[in-house]
Amino acid sequence: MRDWRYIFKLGALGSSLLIVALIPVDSITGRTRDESQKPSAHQETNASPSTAPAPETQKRSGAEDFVGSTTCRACHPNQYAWYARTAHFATIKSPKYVPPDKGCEMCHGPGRQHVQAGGKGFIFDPRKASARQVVAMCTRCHQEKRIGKCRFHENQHNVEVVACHDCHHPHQETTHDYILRREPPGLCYQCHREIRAQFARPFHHKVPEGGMSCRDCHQQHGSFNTTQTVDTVGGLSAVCTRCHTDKEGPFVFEHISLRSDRCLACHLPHGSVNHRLLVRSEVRFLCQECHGARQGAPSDAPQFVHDLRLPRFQNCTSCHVMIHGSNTSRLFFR
Amino acid sequence: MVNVLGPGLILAIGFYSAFAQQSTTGEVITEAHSSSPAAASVSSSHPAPPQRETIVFGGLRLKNTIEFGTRWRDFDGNEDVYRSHVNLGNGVKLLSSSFELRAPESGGRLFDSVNLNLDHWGGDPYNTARLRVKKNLWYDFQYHYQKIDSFNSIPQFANPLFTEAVRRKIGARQASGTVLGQHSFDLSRRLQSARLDLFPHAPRLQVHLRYARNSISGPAFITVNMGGDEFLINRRVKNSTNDYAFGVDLSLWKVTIGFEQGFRRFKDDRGNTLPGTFSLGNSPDLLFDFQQIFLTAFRRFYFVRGSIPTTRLAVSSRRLRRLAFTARLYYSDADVDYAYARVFSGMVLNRETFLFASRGLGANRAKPRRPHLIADGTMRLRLGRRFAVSETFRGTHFVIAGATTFGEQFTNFDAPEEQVTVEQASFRREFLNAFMNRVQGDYALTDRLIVRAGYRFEHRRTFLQERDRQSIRSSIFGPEPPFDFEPRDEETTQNTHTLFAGLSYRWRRRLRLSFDYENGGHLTSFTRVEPRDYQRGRMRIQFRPSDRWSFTASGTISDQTRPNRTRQGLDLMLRNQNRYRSGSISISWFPQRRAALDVDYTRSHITATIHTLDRDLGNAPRPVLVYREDSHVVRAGVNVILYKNLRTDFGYRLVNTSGSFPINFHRPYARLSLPVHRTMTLNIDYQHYGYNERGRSIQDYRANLLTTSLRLSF
Repeated sequence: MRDWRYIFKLGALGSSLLIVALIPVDSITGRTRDESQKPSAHQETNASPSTAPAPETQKRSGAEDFVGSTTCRACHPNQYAWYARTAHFATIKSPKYVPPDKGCEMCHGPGRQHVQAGGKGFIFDPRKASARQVVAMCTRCHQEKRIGKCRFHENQHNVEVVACHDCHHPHQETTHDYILRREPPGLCYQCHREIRAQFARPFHHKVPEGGMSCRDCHQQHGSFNTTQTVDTVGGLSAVCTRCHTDKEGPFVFEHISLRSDRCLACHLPHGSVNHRLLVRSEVRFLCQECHGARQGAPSDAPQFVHDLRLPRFQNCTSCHVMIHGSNTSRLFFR
Repeated sequence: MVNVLGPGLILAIGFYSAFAQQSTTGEVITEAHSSSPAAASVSSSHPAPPQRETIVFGGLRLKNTIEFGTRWRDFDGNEDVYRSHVNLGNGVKLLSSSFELRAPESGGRLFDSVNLNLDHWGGDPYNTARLRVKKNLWYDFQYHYQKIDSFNSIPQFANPLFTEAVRRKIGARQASGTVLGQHSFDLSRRLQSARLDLFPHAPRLQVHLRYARNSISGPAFITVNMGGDEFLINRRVKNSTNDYAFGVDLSLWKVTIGFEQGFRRFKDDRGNTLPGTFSLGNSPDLLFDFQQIFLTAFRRFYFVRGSIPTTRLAVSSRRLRRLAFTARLYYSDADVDYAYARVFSGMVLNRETFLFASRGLGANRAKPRRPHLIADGTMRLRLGRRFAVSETFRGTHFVIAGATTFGEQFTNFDAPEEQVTVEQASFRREFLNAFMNRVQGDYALTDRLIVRAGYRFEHRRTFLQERDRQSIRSSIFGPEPPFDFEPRDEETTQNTHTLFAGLSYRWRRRLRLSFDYENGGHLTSFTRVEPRDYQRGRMRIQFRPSDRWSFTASGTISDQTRPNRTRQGLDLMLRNQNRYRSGSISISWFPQRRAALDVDYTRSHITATIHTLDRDLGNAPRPVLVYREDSHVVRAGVNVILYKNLRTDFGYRLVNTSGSFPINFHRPYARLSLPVHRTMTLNIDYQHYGYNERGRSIQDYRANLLTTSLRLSF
């Protein structure tokens, strides 16, 4: 009962915060929209000849501050040519887009000062900006529109100050899907070296061989699931059942760890020295870590009906064959 | 013959061309084949010049590469284990193919780009094909095909300490059964997915359609428990799943609303048979009442049909300066129709009647259902320039409800006039209500340094309800009254509290550091296992002092304790412990444009102590079982561009594990890429796989793979 009270209090607190946050600030402060969008003093001090603040935080610029992508092309022909291969180029082609949401200046900010200075400074350079500035710039357009990308601000990449341009490059020579700098898994291995070591083990999902990709299982832009796994159609939280659909059920007798702990209770998804990607080399280790003792069982219940010193009882799955779930046998016999 | 002549011809052409043409422009860089980290690093840090493009009709740009060749395999050792690990074979292969047709400056009428990629075709166990057609403002169509052959035939040990000497010492009766796991399979999995996004960059409305198909088929071996013994049986696997989904994303004022309706339909038609016409089972020495247990025939069939409609609804904020929020609702209702039939002959001990049966005919119907609801949300509120607070919650509710009826008729040849029919009916329902709440505060001390701290609460309440009834009818003694087993109702409530803190530091792309620490509890499995107490620390550093050097280090320390109370009323607590340490360091060095070195070293250590109770020892704990794994993984790769554009790439990969399952898996490799023409590159690739299982030699193997291929670009 206390738990539910606690949950209620937390829910009430969260709802209050949400309501407060949703009240338009302008209605309280009386400021106009333009005033409220002015950057802070701290942000304004970032403006320097070498780097300008991110477009998202810049003072609202007039149309006369934008020179257009054709002007940029004169000095940066290669970047323009590579940029023309990407989906971003649609902002130049389509008349729907107008400055500041058009072409090169969409990301780099208005370029008039940069041009007048002879191409020295006064332009936003993501390489010299902080991760927060870069993320703020990109998410200006790339909102969390898609269902699978609904937790961007909480995603581990964002928490660990990985910036968008660490993985994406809007104008580089070699083109990959989603303007990635490299194709996964090479891209992901740049930081996740320990995962690459796991994939080097004899039993692994076929990611290094090219049969699968990191993106098959992980939602790199944020997910509500542990380890940022993608959502699934049927199992909702069990990413493994996207492919291993025969383990999905439902079963009258489900091995419940499949649904509560997911597959990670017994398997190491990236790689293992044990066969079937198991976390332990022998069945007797694996099963008895949970089934070694029974919590909540009646006091006169036998702990085991098996003599676990014998080999035939150490191979639990020889009898408990349908270990993921069964519709016939409570003990997963058939 | 093809295996011999093909590579020979390719080699001859390649070397002739290499020496005939002293000057090669080498415009084609084999980036797709930079399998080693060093090679990948070189191509990443020093991008290749643009690949050749051909202008075809209408001003479209065509870029096409294709690599094909032949692989030889020299093999020695246990082929089953090799196939379980690597599974690459001989023959002519299409190693990769890339086709790109692009309209200049996104100005195509029907499409802006068409990309088709094919990888690993021609008998390799992993085939992929990808097609993407898009017109930027109108549509984006993607199709992906994967075929993965999974083979597993490894004799997993139940207990390697249970040697033949021990078996003889304790006698045949005690030593019955096998110490090897007998399950194996040779499956082929085909995955297809297609997605069409309409108006993918439209500011207001976006629509998408999805379709996916997944099918698995192939033979396997499993075991079946039949009245006192286990028997090895064949298994024919055949199942398929079809997913359909339709969704829209609608942007209104300050929010985006996403809706998706999906539907999954799956079917599973498995079958089992006894290999051969006679089997004594795994324990031929095991006699019940001086009766030998055996099977002369066994057939079993499953027919499963299921459907899962899924509805998703999401609302997320859009262009709000201080607030970002997302709330989602997922609902699915899985439903299965299940039928099962089996027939056997031989001699088994019926568990319910404790009578011997020489023939049996059984059937089973079941109808499980699983409504599942998930509601989750997150909100991030920026309070001032430096401080932000995040609130995340997730609530889960599901019910697994199902009824199953099983009936089987037994006959004994010794008394053919007596027929016994056993009928069982079970009803089972499981509820789970879970709630997670997470509050986190971030404070930016500077633009580069962010510290964070938070609290997570998890609550789970489960309820299990089970009812079983059994009735036995005999042709001689008549029907017995149905017997209702004791109803089973279990309820469990678990709560955990966790505190966490961390910091992140970033200085441009030169230095990035993050550290996290958590201490608290973690819910594990269902009703019978207590939550896990744990503490975990993680750190990661990435340092690039210059464009020539890159250092990465990461580490994880984790300690878990799982206190298990054995029975109600008994003050006996067993503590299973799990200790995990892992550290990784890597160095990448690019001394010049034509060379790169990449070295990784990862060390991990796992110690798991497992306490169990023993039937014969009452409540006294048994000696503790200990699983230990001490693993070293080393990867070193060198990539050098030698004379002209002759590229070499060689390295070594080693996995050395000691402890409960010691192995020494090593994989040296070397690759030579020789551009012989502006449009042609000759590749020679060598890989060695050595398993070197220590202590038990039956799983050892060594394999040498040599692949020669030509890569054409036009």
